[in-house]
Amino acid sequence: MTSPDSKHDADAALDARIAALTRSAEPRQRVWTGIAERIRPVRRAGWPWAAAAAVVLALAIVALQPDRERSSTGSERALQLVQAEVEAMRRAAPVVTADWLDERPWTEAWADNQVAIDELEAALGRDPDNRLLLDFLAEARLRQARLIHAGLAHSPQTRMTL
Amino acid sequence: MTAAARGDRDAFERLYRAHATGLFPALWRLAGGDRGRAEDWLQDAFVQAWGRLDQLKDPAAFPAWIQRLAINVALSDRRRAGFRVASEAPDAAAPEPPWPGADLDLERAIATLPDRARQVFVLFHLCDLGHAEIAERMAVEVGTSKAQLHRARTILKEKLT
Repeated sequence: MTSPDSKHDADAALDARIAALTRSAEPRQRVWTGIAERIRPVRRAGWPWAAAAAVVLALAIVALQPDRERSSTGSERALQLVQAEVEAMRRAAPVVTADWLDERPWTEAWADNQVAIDELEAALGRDPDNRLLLDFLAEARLRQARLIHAGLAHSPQTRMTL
Repeated sequence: MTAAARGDRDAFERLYRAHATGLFPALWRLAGGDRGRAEDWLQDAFVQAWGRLDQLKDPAAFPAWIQRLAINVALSDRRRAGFRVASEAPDAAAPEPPWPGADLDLERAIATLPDRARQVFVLFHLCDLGHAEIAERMAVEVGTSKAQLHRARTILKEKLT
């Protein structure tokens, strides 16, 4: 049987050792190298983003369509998300120009986010009822909408249009 | 941080250099001593941060914000992979921390704690989170967080005496 005093001592000794643990250490250089690579601007000059988005969305719709016919709740939700996105893209597309693609940092963030969306949609095509993927996709699309909104507000050309 | 939020990658690298060192040991411990996984989480957290910097209004909040991002990356990755390994016995060949002067016995004991107990222990003692926040992050009850911390400490005391 352990006495209250020895239990207290053991706790105090553990706390002292925890307090002395290292709180700061250098990760390997490859971590930053990888980050730098992943946040590098993606040039998509001559590749109209709205068209690219439309292709991606069309693929997503095609990928999800068979599941809709099976009346799956998850895939219907995904389909609604995609359709809402198509509508949002259609509304935004006329005021976005190639010049806008050269601005920073909205386009970089947009491009990075688009890569994530592409990957999520591909995964969702393989596993349409995956709630986690749906949540991630919804979050990525919300982020994309915010970026588009912010980008439009900052573009001199589109400010005039708006 | 303001410059980084405007898309200045050099400024973002300075942010990384200033904060990554403070996150790495906790991530290494959350990963159970898997250095590669901890570094992957660190990288993912900063890549996510780069894409979301414009959402952070107060530069002074960056340290807590990036810590939260890193923890979320770690926990969501463990949730996805963890159910496959959660019931595995602790690894007898515990790894060595990649920093000098480590308390090897304690570090190895932490690394070999059961998954959930280790997560709660690290978040409570090394990330300074309270039970309410730990419970929210891990999607468990506050009582579960307290119980897992008690379990972790009991195991550690047994191993270290």
